[in-house]
Amino acid sequence: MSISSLTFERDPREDVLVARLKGDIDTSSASTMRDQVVRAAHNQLLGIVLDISAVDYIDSTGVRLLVDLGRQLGERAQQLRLVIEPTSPTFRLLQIVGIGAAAPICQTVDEAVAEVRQAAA
Amino acid sequence: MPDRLLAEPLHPTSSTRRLLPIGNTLPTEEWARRHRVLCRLLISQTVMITIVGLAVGRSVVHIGASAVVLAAVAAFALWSKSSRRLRMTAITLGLLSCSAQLVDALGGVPEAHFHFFVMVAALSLYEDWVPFTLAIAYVAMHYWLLGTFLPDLLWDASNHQTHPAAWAALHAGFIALAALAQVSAWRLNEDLRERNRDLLGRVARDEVLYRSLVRNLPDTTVLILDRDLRFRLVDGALVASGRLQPERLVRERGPVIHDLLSGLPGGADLMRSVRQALEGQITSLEVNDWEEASSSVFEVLVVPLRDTGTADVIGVLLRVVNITVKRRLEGRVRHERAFLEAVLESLNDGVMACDAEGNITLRNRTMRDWNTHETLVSVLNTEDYENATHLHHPDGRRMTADEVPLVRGMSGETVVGQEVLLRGEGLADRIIISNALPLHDHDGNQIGAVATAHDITERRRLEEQLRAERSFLSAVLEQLHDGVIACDQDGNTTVYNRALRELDGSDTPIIDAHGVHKPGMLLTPDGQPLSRENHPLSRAFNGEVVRDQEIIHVRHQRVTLQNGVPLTDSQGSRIGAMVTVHDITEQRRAEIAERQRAAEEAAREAAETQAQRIEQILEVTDVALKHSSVEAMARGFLHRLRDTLRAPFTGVLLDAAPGERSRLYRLGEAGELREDAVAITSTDTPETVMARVVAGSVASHLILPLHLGEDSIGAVCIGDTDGAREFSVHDRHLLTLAAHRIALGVSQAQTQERQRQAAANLQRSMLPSALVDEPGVTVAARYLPAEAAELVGGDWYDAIPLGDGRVGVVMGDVVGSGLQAAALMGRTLATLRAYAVQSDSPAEVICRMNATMFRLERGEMTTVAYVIVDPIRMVLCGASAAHPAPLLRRGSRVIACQARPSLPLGSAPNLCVEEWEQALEPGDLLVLYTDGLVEHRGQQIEDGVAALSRALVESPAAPEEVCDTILQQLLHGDRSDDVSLLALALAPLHAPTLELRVPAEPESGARVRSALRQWLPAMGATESESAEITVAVGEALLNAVEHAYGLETHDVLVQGHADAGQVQITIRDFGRWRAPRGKERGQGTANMRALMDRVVRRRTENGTIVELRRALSCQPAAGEEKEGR
Repeated sequence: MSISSLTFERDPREDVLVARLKGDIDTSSASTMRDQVVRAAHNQLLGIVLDISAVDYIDSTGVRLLVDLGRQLGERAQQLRLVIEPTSPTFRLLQIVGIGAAAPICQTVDEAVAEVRQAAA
Repeated sequence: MPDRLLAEPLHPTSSTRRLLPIGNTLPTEEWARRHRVLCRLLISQTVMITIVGLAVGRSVVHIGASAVVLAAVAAFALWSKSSRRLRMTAITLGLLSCSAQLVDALGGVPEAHFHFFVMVAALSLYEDWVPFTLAIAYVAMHYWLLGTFLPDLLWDASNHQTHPAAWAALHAGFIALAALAQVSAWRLNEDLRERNRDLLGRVARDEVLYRSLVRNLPDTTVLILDRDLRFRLVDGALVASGRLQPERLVRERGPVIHDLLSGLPGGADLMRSVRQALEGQITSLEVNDWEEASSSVFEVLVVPLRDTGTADVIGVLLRVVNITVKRRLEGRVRHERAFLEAVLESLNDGVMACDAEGNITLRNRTMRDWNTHETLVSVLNTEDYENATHLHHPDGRRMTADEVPLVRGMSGETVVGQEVLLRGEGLADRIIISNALPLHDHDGNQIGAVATAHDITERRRLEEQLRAERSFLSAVLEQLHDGVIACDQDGNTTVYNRALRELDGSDTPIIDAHGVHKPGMLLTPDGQPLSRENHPLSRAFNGEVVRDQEIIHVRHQRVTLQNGVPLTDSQGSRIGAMVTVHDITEQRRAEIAERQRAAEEAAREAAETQAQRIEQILEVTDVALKHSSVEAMARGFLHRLRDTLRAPFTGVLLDAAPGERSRLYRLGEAGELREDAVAITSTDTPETVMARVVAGSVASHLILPLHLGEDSIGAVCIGDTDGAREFSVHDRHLLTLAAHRIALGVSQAQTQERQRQAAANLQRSMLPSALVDEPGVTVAARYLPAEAAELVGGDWYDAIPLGDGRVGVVMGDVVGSGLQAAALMGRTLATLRAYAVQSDSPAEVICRMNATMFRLERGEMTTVAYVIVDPIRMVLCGASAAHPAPLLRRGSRVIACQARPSLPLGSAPNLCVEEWEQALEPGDLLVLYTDGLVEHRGQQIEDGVAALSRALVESPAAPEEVCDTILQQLLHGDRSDDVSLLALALAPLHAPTLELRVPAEPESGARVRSALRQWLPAMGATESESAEITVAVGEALLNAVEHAYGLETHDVLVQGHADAGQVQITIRDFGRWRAPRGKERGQGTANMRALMDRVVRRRTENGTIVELRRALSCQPAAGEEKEGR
């Protein structure tokens, strides 16, 4: 486990892509991550669930990235859901910046997947 | 009673009176018994009279009065304390009155008068004259008076009444006759009693005698039993001690001896003996005491007692004697006898004894060992004796019987110190000294003889040996070349040998302990006559040890050295004195000759010395050439110059390159090298400068220039401080020779010095001047070049930031030295840096370096130790190739970090390098070093590492100080190799202030975050507080990176301060504000404000300062450490 590296795990489940992020999301890693996620989101997907519970750090650049990602997926009629537990250190920051408007927050991956499918239907 | 029994016989001896009884002789008890019978008789008669009176109808008054009177009389007789006769009189009168009243009551019938006779017979029981005479008188008076005046009362017949006197007389006469008959019986009774009394008296006397006899017998008790085996007499020791109580045993129906013996130990035996005694046998037996606590032993003799007349057994006598003491004494005698025999057996002296008949009673072990008197039974049997012994006179004659010591002792002679030779077949001859004496008992009767013998064979042999040695010694003394004289403790001369006699020219000592016999024959070295007190023998005799006293013997003109010692025996007591005399006359003469020869030799040697010095000079300067530094060389040859040319002052002046000051080396008084800088002007030559320098301090000097080819490079000088020395042409020649060599040496040393400097400079320039300073990590390093020029170079080290707060530290040593090694080391360092940033695995970095080196630097090798320090994860990871293991100090422990050893880099195409990992703890200190630090001449590397470990434990915390401490403690004297040392400390981020200076670029964010993630929890921030403050700082840093600078890169300073539950962090850049670039940013400042309590931004001339503040929910907990991610 490296301190500031961002790791990207794909967890394909049929029609929803679940990606797990770890480490820090800052200026140097944000755009790389966004490109990877966008690339993985092929057209057949109903949406993407980003599990950011294991993210230690996310600054405004990172927030911006999540907002952009939500917007880009939205343009393709795909959903974006974030999974984060309320106890996570970054939860408050995401609340402050009102991330919910761009990417709704769920507490578990299953809940998020369900929401994605519901919204698509 | 016995007293009375033993009194004189009662009856008078006159014949007329012998027929009559004495009267009143009854024993008191017997009399009292009879008196009581008569008293009862009186009472019964009184009752009878009363009844008869009442029956015949007498007046009651008369009868009552009579009864009262008679009862009073009986009471008086019965209880009165008056005399026997008075009481007898009362009874007599009472009884006779009863008779009288009876006669009266019955009216004087004749038969009533018989009552008087009955009473008289009864009164005879008293065996006394008084009742009889009184009865006769009473009857006579009664019958006469009543017959005369009241005959009716007395008689019923008339004839009696007519002659009362005659009837009275008749009655009294009968009474007298009755009395007479009683008296006869009474007299016979008395005789019988007297005989019994005699018999009893004799028996009592015998008993008293016997008892006193028994009581005087020691420890003896006598018991006498009758045939019924009842005790008749018990007396003696056991009675006196209270063990037997005669009063309980000797009784009429007392205990039978069976009763006492049954159940006692030995009781059955004793009973058997008693029964045998009844059959007439005498037996004796021993019994133990019947009381268990006592250990007494009794001897019991059981004897039948026989009637002296009939010889019938009438009883048994038991004589009990306590023989305990006797038995004990017998035991002790036996014991002592055994002891005595053991002593005699153990003696080394022979002992032999015989009894009065001459029979051998004792022959102890030694005597038996000597095998003499073997078959001898009696010493008096002389014939037997001569065959049985091996005794001879010392001259070998066989001893006759009467010469033998024991026989002489038997004949009453006391023999002392008779010498006897024991010689027999199969026996070694033995010489013994024998003593003998007769033995007598208390009465002076001879009861035997005893002889003792002491073996003196060995003593004789030693005496013989001593005599032989003494004669040998005196023969040796006679033959000695040195004179010897000795005296005993009395001062008498005992040795005066031939050599000394010849020296003295005399047959008697000239001087001995008693005095001087021939004055003037001995002189002291100054020609004075030698007094007795000063003579060595006298001095030694008085206890002095004399060493080499010189004495002149006049007779033959000889000189001697004399040594004297007091003589002592092995116990240290003085037994005399001895002096040895050594003739040194010839030696003296030889010494004089030798002195002359030595003077000649000295002159010759002086001539040869100069030539030798040249050799020494050459040798000196050759040694000097081997020194590498100018100072070391100067010290070497100045010392040798001083010693070889015997010059107190030596100095050398070395001319320097233009613009530098020349140096003057000279030796101080203690031999230390002094170095002075000297200015040389263009007009000066080194010689003139030298002359000027030494002018003040030396009186005479010799100065020569140092030439190297055509160039003058300096001057050399020798001088003498007190001016006594004049330097000769020869000295100049020598110094010239030396100067030439010195010039060569100096030149070579200077060249080497320059090479060393160059290599060291190159080395230094290649090594990093400033090491990384990651948050939480402090690094310090030292490099010390070797002192020898050819050994400089090769050590390399570095500390490389690897991102994410990690630091790679490396230490290596290139095989080889000098400029080439320094250059190689530079390339190696660059290679390492290149690979280090590419890989997280130290082993991989080393393997890659090896591949590069093996291919590109053929034949070159280097050792290396590479460690990656990760202060965030708190872990060390490293690998080494042929390099000393890095040491990790943790508290007072030192851990050597190493895996399996490997070959050095460049030695093989593929290296097998193993990686090790070590968890870190706050406050840990890592040290890397090269072997120059621990490898010293004459010391094991292990000892050096141990010393390093000790120094490490004692070092302070800061790496800079650690380096200084370790170098100071481990390096002494010359460094033969480069020494490098790198120390890395994990700074605990507990300080309330934090300061980070990072480049203004996006990548710096990670470093700042990792520092904050350690520092904030340590200041008491919760996990979410820490995360939020970190985001706020990240936003501020991002602002600084984006707004402050243009293309040029500068630093951003992040300073944190925690106090009273509040954290303040300042982010400061040093650029000018410009409009933000990019569109993605706008949220940053808003985030800061949302996450922090207070955000202040100030723009100054020099840049922008952002102050962030936030209160923490809880106070910092000391020592709390949270690992960041």
